[in-house]
Amino acid sequence: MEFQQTTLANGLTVIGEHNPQAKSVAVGYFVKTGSRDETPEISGVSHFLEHMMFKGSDTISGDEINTEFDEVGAKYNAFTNEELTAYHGAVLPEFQPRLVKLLTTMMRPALRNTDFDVEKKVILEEIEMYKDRPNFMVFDELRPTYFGQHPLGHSVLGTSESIALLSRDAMYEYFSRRYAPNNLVLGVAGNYDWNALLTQVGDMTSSWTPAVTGRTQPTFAPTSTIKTINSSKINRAHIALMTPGFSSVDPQRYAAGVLGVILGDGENSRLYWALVDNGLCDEASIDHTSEDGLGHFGGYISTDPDRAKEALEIFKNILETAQQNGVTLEELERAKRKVAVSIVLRAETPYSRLFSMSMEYLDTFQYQPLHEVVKTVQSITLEEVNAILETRPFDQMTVVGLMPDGFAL
Amino acid sequence: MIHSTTLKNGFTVISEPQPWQPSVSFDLLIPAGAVNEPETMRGVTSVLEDWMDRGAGNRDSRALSDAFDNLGVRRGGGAGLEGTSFSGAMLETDLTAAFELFADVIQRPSLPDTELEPCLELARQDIESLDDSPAQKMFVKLRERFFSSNHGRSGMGTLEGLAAITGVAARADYQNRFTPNGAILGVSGGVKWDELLELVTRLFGSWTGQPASNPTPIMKGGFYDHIVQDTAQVQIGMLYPSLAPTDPHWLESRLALLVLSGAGFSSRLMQEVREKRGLVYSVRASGSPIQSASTISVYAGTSPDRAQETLNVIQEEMQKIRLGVTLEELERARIGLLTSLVMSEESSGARAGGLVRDWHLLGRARELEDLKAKVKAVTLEGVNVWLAANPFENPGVMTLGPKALNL
Repeated sequence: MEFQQTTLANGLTVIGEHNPQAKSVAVGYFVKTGSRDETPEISGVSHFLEHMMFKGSDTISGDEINTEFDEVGAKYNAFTNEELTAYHGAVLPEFQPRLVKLLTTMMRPALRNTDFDVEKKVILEEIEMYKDRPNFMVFDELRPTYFGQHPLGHSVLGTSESIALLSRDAMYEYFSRRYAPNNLVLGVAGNYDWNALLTQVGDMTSSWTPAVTGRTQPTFAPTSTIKTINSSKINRAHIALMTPGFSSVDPQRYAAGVLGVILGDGENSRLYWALVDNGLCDEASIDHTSEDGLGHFGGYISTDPDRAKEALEIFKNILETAQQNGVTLEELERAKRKVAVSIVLRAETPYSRLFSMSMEYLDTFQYQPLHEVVKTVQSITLEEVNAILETRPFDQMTVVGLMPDGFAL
Repeated sequence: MIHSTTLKNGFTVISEPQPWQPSVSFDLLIPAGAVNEPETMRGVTSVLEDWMDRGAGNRDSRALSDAFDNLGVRRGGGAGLEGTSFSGAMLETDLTAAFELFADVIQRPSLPDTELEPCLELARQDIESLDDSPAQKMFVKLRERFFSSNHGRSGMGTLEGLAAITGVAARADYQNRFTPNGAILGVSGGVKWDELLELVTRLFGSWTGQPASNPTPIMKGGFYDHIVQDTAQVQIGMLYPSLAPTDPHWLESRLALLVLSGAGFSSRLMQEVREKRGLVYSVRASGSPIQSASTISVYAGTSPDRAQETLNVIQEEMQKIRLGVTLEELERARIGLLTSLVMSEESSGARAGGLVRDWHLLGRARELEDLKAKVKAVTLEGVNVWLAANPFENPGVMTLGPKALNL
């Protein structure tokens, strides 16, 4: 597989991982913007805008976009998180030019008022949908509790109130600031035609102008908090927690990832044996997530409400024991093997390579071939993992429990 | 090219090698599912599936997990309606060692009494969790009512069924139903057929057991039920009876269904319910084949004050499609289906699963090239004649939310 890269005159970076054996081409625009780049007045705009991008530009309607995606048989979608908005699709190689044209056209939307009003209803329904999912809601409560004033605490969906008040013009203002070509990466993977891609995208984006983008990186000091929210609508205890971790350019992020697997993977981890194997919890996990400038370990417990306190105590004890005694070489080797093999297994399709490659690039401005990622994982030492534990990362823990009425943590 | 052999004990192995892959994926379907579990022990299949994983051969639960992890095997599967699936993916070099472990789990599980209680406890919590997943709960209730045969059973079982499970009874049930006779193993990725067949014959050839027998599906639509629950959204579910996967018009029916609800947003339900009216975030129709029948299930979730309109629009679209689809709609559905087939060739896991599904439902595995040619050969007339003669009708309807709707 060959890596290719260029930056156009307008600042748009194009990256590709070419695999001539692939039977498909995956293409995506990755925009370095998300809920952390919003102010409270426009909370939810990144995600609402992601929906609106499918509603057409000056030259194409939303219906035509829908039809065109389906006429080329594309598998496609989009997502928004705290830091990133992505638009992506995969097609057979013969349809590369049509998919690229479509996605590129979409990047300069019309944001028509009539579409805005209909789509607002869809967004409000999406917010309602998540209200019926306590395992999601508990994290929505946890984020602002843990991050406090830091923008990583912002909700991706926003609230029914913020969405109801959002105007088309405020959305356009946000779009103009955040979708400048120098804040976008266009990724391609699989059996694509690089020269055709560059010519086509160069022509289509020649009028795009770069802008000052960036994002704020306020200081953040985690605190230890524990909070219970009661709901008469639920039956189980859903507990979510966060502790500090390592950013997406921090070399320690790899060791932190493997530590997460040792402690809290879904199977054969310390938390699994302490809480799930014996039937106390139907889920108990922790893993590490890197962000731009920060990072965190995120944990989750699902259990009977009358056993929630006990489960949380055991969970904390497992983390404390690791902080005191470290992990063993045997555990480390097993976790590394698990992580390395699953990286290789995930790499089968161009679509999945597109995500790994583009998201890594957006974070680090670097490309790592698969075998180098695997090598990096394999070279993690016991000293590195235990050095993280010696800094006692789990002492600063924020916990939120979403519980039926009458129960507390 | 697809290879297949059925061993003397009734165990079938099918493979489509993808020599360029560094990995191997497999899916093994044992014909023990909720549909054939004893009425008195509803839920025992998923309990057994968990229990089997807690020690096998000469390894206890922890040693077994460690052995799988040392190989880096990524495991999946679970107990389903018509079978229990054990699936995995690994590097090609670890295939033999990984299959040896799986052979232990499947033929020589320890099933110790000490491990049964946690399995039952977890199964109970699964059932308790249903109230926190309203969409899933609605479909569990809808399926129960829609099928008069065992096919309406949820794999979770019932609290009464779980309470009746003893170690002795569950072990006997394992002996009865977890058998090679009707088991299907699909393997894809970097694997050679001769070596695979030799390995599988060595590991599974001397396993013995009776064939499993499944009841005939009986579907009974034409009802509306409502479950009162204080939710933010009303969950709307519909089940339509549909044809068997072996039916000669299967592809016509699949393409018609994709016109209603395809992968993209240009399908009719997405257009009418979401894009034009903004009634929902989620609306979809999808087909679920079982042996000798299939269902089409429709789902939408929306706020209580918009639920009635949502239901009305969906019903109208489900009825209207009997008038036929347009050539443009058919072509979009066709290219979507063809693209999915080509992309499945890129993934060893997708192919292994596809081989097993084919064999289970059709009694043979289809070459992708043949299947693609058949998809290309479907005509507009063929789809529309079929739709006119076989309209989507007589659904079972279930809603869950604060208030019932008018049907």
